[in-house]
Amino acid sequence: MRIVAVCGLGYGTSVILKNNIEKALRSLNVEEATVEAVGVAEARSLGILANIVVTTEELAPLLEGLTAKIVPIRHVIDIDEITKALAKALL
Amino acid sequence: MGVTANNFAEAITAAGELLVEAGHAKPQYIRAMIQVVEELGPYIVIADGIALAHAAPGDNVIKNSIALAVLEKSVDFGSGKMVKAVFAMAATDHDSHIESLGDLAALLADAEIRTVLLTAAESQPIELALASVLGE
Repeated sequence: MRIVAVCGLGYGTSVILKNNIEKALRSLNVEEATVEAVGVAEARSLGILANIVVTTEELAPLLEGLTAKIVPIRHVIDIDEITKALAKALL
Repeated sequence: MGVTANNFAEAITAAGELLVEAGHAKPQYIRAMIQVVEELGPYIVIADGIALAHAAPGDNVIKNSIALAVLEKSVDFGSGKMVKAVFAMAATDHDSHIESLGDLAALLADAEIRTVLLTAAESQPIELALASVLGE
């Protein structure tokens, strides 16, 4: 499974998001998932290959049209929120 | 501590000036951080009351660094997302900052540390809590 963490530039907020997605996946016992941090522009191309795109509420509308499941997060440091959102997306 | 700012641009400038004064970023980097919020909205608000301002790595960054400005009063970063503590992060390239960013995220995931950051009346408790990521 390929998960993409998206922020505006792909190197600040999305890196925090990526770290926390990895922690969330461990607590959900999901193995064999790759997580990448990218910016919005890159996500439009990479997102085609991803199963799940995790991003912030503000940026989610910019990613409409991707076939991947879009998971908007309110606060990227909130591991509980990310874990719950991912658990739902993985159902 | 106690920085006065009337809007998000002034708030980001306050934190960014700390990077510039320390010689870690060029003044143009401040404008670039403001532009990110103007273009993409308040997605840099990573927790209630806390923003992580940054722009793309590159020529405007002299040294990897994270600075913090705590505002006297919260300001709206957009969509009613109020911010009191503004981190400004500068990185010379895409990969080198990831460790300190991870440390910062781990600290801010702690609700007690967030409370200190948003409510402390003096800078000392904040400096103690964040000593491992602030400065050089």
